[in-house]
Amino acid sequence: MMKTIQKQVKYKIENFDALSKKLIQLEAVFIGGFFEKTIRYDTVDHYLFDHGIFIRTKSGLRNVLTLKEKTRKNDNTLLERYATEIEIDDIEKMEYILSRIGLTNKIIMEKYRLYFRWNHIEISIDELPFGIYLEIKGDDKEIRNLSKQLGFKSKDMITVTYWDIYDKIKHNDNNDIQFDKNHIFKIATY
Amino acid sequence: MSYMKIDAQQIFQNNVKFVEYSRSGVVYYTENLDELYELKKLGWNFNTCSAGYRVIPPSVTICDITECKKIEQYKNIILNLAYFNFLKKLKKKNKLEDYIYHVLRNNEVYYKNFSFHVSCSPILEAEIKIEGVDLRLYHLKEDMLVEFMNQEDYKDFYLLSKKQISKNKMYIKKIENDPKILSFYETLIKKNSIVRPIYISSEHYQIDTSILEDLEYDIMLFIPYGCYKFINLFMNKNNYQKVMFWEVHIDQSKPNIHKLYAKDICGRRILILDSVYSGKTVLYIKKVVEEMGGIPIILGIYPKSKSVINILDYVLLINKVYKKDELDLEDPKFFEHIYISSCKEAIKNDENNSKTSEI
Repeated sequence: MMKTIQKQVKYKIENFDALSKKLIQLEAVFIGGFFEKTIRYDTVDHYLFDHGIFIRTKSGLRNVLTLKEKTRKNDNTLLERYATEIEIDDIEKMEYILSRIGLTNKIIMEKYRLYFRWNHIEISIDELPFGIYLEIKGDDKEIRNLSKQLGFKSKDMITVTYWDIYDKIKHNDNNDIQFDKNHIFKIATY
Repeated sequence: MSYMKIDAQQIFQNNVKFVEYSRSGVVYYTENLDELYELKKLGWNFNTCSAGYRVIPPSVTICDITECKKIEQYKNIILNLAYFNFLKKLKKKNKLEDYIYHVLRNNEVYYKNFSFHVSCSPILEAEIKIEGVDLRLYHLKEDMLVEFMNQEDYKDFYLLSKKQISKNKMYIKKIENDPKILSFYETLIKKNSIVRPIYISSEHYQIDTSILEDLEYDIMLFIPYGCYKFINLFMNKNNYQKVMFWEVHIDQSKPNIHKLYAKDICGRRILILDSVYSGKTVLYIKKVVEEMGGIPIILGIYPKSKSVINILDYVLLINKVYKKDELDLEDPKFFEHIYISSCKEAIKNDENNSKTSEI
């Protein structure tokens, strides 16, 4: 079974240029920029959410279906999930299959992502409608090392999902995270 | 309503040829608008010609070591050289296609029915360019890079490159603020808008043109439309009034020809500035200038091979203009050495200028 543990942390970015400079200094490698649309599926009564299970399709770099599960460990230091991912050909067909098995509740998240690699660490600078964030994925040691080199402090760490962040700041009942204005990142979107 | 289905993969595979700009690539001619429509949806570009539409597929530069923008595409000039050396080695061993097939196999679902072509030519010494049947080509480019970074010998390539360059640094950019030059650009944009919209950025890479300071010339001849991408590199308050534009095409299927700020050429020294791949266009315009009694001096922009540099008088490589005669074109690693020296220069310039700020 190809279930992997994903560890990640986020930081809110106030100065994008300073971050870019820092990534250049650290010799990070820019892989590409793309628009990413994530749809999270659940039953009408949020059964999956209540049980710490998340199913989503994601289009962007490529189309994938991911199952994320909360791990038992919950020391609040990093965001940690079991992740099982497969590549899919057709998102609409997958959406249909999921709806037919009862996952009819959908929430959308859009973001513009600039994707970097630093050694084996995945770094994403994400522009969402509510701000720019840095997301670092790797193992504990690597994440902490990079965070330190980028000048972040432990108190700046965000260890929740974008859905959670949005949930706290939203001003209405709409759960979808979608752009209603121009985005800042001028990146190739395909 | 039924509509025409096309087999883009077959069109792609059946139309690889040695194209007019002296490299291999896919060019397809059609009169069929249905076909053109379908290909356009896949990211193909076209221009009209006597045979109908000349259509070419999406293409990307995987790696380049001659021009600032392409060098910086991965935001790491150390990696860029390492990647270039890696790809060059594969190309030399005829293994580059195998490498790409390996990347495609790793993502079989995504790359189902995808075709690519590695552009070949002696004029592509310093650039690796590939074409693909559709826009998945852009993702292939990303996957190729990630695969390189996952390879066992990645560290070796990177460390060797780091030893030569030492520090990662982007090239310096400058914002044009001379009102006379800005107004000159504005007029150019306005005049061109009648036939074809152009864009001239006020921000550009800072290049060292000091070698041109002692060069006497009466006219700077630029060749639309490619020139509008780089004209800002050469403009200053002393030369913008010497500019003349003259659109020429070796490829007769492109009919548009115009002159702008036309000047008398006879008996005058004409500095011809053009981006050069095969060099055919500059040689053609050189001949025309000579026939009109002018004295041509050629400044080639970002050539990708030493053989092409040989036909030039001056050359822009990365962020500096060189006199051809002062270059060691016998050096088998000529482009790599220019690259390393430009990187070191950029680092030196940056050292007095570094400051940090809060993220």
